[in-house]
Amino acid sequence: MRKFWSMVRIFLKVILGQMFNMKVSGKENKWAGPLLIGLVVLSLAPMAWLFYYMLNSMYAFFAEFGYLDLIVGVTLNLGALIIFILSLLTAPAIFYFSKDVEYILPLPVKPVQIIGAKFAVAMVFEYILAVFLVGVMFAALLGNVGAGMLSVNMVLIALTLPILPMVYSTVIIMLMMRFVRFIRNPDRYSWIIGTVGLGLGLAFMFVSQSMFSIDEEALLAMLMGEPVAMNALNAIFMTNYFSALAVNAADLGAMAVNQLGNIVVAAAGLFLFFLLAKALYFKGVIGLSESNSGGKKMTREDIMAGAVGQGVFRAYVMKEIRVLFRSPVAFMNCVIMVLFMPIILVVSFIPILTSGSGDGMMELLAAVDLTEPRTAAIALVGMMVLALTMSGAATITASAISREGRNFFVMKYLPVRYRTQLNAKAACGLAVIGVGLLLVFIPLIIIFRPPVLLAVGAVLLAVVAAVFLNYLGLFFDLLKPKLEWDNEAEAVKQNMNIMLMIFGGMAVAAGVGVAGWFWLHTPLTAFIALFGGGLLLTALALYLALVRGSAMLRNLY
Amino acid sequence: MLKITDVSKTYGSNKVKAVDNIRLEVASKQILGFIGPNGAGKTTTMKMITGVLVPDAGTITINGHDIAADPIAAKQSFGYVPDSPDMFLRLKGMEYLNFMGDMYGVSAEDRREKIASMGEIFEMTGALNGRIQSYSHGMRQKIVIMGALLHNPAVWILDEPLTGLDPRSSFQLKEMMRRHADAGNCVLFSTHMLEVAEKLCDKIALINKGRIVFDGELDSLKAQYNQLSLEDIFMEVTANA
Repeated sequence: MRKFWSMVRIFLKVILGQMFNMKVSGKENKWAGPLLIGLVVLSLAPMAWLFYYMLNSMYAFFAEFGYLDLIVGVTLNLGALIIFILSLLTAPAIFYFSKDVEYILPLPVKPVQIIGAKFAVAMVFEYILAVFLVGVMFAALLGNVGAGMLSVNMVLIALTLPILPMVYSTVIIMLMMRFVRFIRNPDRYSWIIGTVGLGLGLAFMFVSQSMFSIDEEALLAMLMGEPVAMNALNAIFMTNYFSALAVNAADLGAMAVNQLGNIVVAAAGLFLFFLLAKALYFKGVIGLSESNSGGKKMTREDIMAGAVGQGVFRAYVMKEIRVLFRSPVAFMNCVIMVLFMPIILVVSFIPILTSGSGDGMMELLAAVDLTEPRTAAIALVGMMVLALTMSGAATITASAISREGRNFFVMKYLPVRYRTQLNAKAACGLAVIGVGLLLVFIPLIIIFRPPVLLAVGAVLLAVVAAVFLNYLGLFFDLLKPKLEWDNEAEAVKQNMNIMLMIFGGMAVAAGVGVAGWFWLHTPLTAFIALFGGGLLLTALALYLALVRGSAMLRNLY
Repeated sequence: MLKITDVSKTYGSNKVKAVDNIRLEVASKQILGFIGPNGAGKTTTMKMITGVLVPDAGTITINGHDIAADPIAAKQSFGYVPDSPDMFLRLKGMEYLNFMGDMYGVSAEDRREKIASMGEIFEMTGALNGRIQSYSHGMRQKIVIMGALLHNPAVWILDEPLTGLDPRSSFQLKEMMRRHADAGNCVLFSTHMLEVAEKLCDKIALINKGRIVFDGELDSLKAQYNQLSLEDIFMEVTANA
């Protein structure tokens, strides 16, 4: 057992180290980790409140009709589904791509101990989620059922809820890793989970938007119908079936029997997991890190055709774009954030525009008169606010030096001026933001048909905003680059520069919005103030990033 | 061709002297073997020569160009192979070589000829379409060497270039180094393979605890130590220093 716990500790340390390693410029920042956790908790608080509010009103409604057990079962199954999906996305990193099993295998430990330790580590993360879900759920239940048996139930349900979803997802992953060669590549897997995750996110947004048009009566009728899906979920996540019965049990005896059922099913699930994992896991994980030089074999003729030159700046920009787009974590966090923002905007409008309730919105849109000075001024301010928010969210330049990691020194021995290299990094960011802004701008032009001069003004303001934040982001990253990392995610996700960029972008955007609303009432004053102010700030950002930045890069080590 | 004069470098707030007032010179037609224990200051010295690190004191000139005063011309004069080849992993081999060719301004004609010939020498031609990430350690080392030598630099600065190379590639690289020096250029390379240094180098510089403890021809070093092997001399010098 000692070996098992040692392995759990080591696996956890490695993963937590990757998650919360906030080293900047090679030095550990003792406040950065807690600050990040604090920010995460703070950003989860509104979601928890919303979740609590939804559940509380739903429980009250269903309790009135005597169907509380049904909705408790629905909540638990929904939680189990979320855990199942999240674990499908995250468990491969723990089980397969952490590259530690090949070091552990030669040690005198039993295979089952390794599997158990890996499963325990994966469970820790799912338990955090389960405690959050179950905690909010029980807080909502508190007002609707007696508090007497809730605490015992809460602990037992939080303990058993993630087990079956985790067992199913890890067995599915083990089967895929064993038999589907295509996904045995970490980059490819990240691409798949990133795309699936985004797809699910968009689907969730679409569905939740559609739910606004469903009233409680319709929801009740839907749930009262033939519960095929519910029955299926109860059969799959059988622990939840017993848990729901235990929560709604009339007396202590019934609750104990149902909780016993819950525990027995969870234990059976774990037994099944170990049985299958012993047969599948090691055959899939061994050889995962073996090199395999991909691509079509090159010939001398291919070299003759492929060895072509281009200018230094263009070549550098192309290198930056290639590396950015080929790194799943950088692509998902820096590029998709920009390109998906317009798509999310469109998706969130679809249900409103297509349902009957959107008529008012359509009328409102049609009534917008961009030749009216106040409206035109608001449009200009709005475009700049949008460009600032999008540029802040891109974080391409705010992570440009950090993403180089320990190899940043290559920038220093290439015979290319630092200023040229920094401009190439900024150009890469601007190219992506430019595409994102176009994706927003074109639909807006089609919907509102603004006067040409106003459109040109809006484009100029967007360009100034994008250039300003791009170079400012580059300066932030030069100020305190995070160069010591083992996993690229550390450079992109756990980087204070990026937080600074996102929140800085939002703060500047909010400032521009407020100033615009109160003081800039005609398009001319709005344009002159924003463009003039923007140019001044851009000049400052260019100075900081290029002049100061070159000197900082020279001394960076 | 490569001259280091009174160069020092300290690290950190406790002022650890990584390199302490060193002088070195590599002339045309010379291969200098830079040897020393781990942490002796070899990589720090090489990083200062290449402009990666800024020295606290002293000057470094490469092919007549001061790395501090005229960095671009100085950087254009050398090819550098760093101690770890794990770089540009998401680029394909060919993309990396084209990138390096563009950075050093190598014409299309020259780069075709050079990539083809080095591809054959290092048996890398077939793999150039694959991502560097998928290469083995030795293949990564070879692609970094190819990238560093693509612009045909006069000065080669190689930090443990033989690590991970298969015997054939190792032999070829040693031959290339010899031919390059014989053609009127120079090579500075660090290594822990003392028998290689003994056979290949015209000069040896032995660094220990940031100081050059010997700099000269191998014969004169051996003469100082009763014709001991380089390995024995190394053991003695580093033990007593």
